[in-house]
Amino acid sequence: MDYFVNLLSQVCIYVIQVATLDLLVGYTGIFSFGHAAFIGIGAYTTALLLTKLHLGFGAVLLGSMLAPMALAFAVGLPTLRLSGDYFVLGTIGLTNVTASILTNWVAVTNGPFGIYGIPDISLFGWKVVTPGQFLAVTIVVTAVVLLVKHLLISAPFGLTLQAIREDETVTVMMGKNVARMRAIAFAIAGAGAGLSGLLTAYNLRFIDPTLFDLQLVIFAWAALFVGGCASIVGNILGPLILVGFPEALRFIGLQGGAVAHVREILYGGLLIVMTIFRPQGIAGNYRIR
Amino acid sequence: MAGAILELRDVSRHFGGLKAVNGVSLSIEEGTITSLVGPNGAGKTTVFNLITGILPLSSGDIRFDGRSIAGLPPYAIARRGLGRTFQDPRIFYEMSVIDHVVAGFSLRGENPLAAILRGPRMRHETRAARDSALRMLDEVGLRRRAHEKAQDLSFGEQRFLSILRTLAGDPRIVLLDEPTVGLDRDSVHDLTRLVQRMAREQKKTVLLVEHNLDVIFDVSDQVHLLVGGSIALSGEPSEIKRHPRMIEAYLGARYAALRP
Repeated sequence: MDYFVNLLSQVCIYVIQVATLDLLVGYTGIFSFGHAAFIGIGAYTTALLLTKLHLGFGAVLLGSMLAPMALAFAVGLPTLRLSGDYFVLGTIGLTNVTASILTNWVAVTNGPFGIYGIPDISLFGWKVVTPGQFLAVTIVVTAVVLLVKHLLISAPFGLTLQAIREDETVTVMMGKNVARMRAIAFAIAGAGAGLSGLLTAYNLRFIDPTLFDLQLVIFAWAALFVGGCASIVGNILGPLILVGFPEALRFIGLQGGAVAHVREILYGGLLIVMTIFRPQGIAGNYRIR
Repeated sequence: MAGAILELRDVSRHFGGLKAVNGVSLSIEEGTITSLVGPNGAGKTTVFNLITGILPLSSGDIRFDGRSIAGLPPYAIARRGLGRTFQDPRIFYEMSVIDHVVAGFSLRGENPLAAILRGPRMRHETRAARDSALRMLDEVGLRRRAHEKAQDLSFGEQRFLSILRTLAGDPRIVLLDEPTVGLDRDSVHDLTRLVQRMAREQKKTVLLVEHNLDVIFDVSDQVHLLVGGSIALSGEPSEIKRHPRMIEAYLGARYAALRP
């Protein structure tokens, strides 16, 4: 039972990552592969503030959002000027450089050995100990993230982002400071991604740099595509399916060494079938052209 | 000059050795409709791109409302009250018709904090913008399609939508780049009336790049003929209409020589 509760917490964490990525990809047309950097900075900020400075949950929560937000803003202002392919490459670089710094700045991050002994969440004297309690916290955080995202995209802020996605030059001619809006969207998504890093750190109690490499970004993109862009329902369905599908295969009676391979094949097959027959994703409102 | 809202002073733009716009000076009075005409490649759209800041000037100065706007970023120029449309409608395909117009307004809710906090002023302002947008759509007969995706509109409707999107920002001067291209006769008529209403009722200044001479002579207060990046001829429509240089520019030198 604990296994499934844990799995559900993990799904929620992915939902946060996908929803914040969607703010960039689905709404603003920013094709970022730098998400793992923000998630990683959020997780490491959490781990360091807890194990080195022994700060409380509130301060850690704030730090885990502000640190990646600052990074996103600093990186975003210059790199968001890059067009299309170059921006994608730049953000892949961001993810790799961040993972490399986390691996090699041993004095602070403990390098490849990671950070151990991350304590339980402690809120006003209430300690989050069991997986069920952690799931409750995770669901609340995820719900808040989705609510904030909904408020943002349903307001004129979201309209301007979509205008930027559709035609940058026209949006500029409407008097919108497109460069600034894109940087703000990037920073907000970075802050949200940092929150998923916070939950990852608390969940695993141990983090190392390999958790935050390009593979995590690819997974988030895959989940975003399966669920569908510009859709909160899609943001939830994507991770649920990508995590749930391989798990469900455990129960179809496959045996022995073939299981892992068959799962990989079916998993890849699912992605191929999706791209052919439903390129906008299951619940997507926007299809990338 | 008194009353000039937009003034180009000896404006040039060179692309390498090509002088796309060469020493253009013109002055546009507030509340008037001015047309920029000329053959393809004369530099009309380049003039628009220079005014809106999309292209930097090679030399010269552009003054809007008495202050230089040369070198300002395009969004800052737009915010001073300068709106433009493009040759293509360039609508936002995935956006609903009404959202197009609402996005054209400058709203408090574009600030992410205001969007999250949803204060009463922000909500009131957003609602008011939606109401205005519906009224504007009503005027061009698009109200009943307000909630459809813009990509489902006809080409002509998309053109009107692109103009409304620009008007939503309440610009003082509107630059329209070939607004009648691809429109049928009825739509051209509707568009002509819309442009006239903009100037006469809403007191907007209009700068028009146009090939349809009927429209030009129908609506314009001033016409400038642009040939090879320079202004060849300026004047009121009645003066311009039969001028040999105008005929030459549009129909060729031989035809001009045949005319009395």
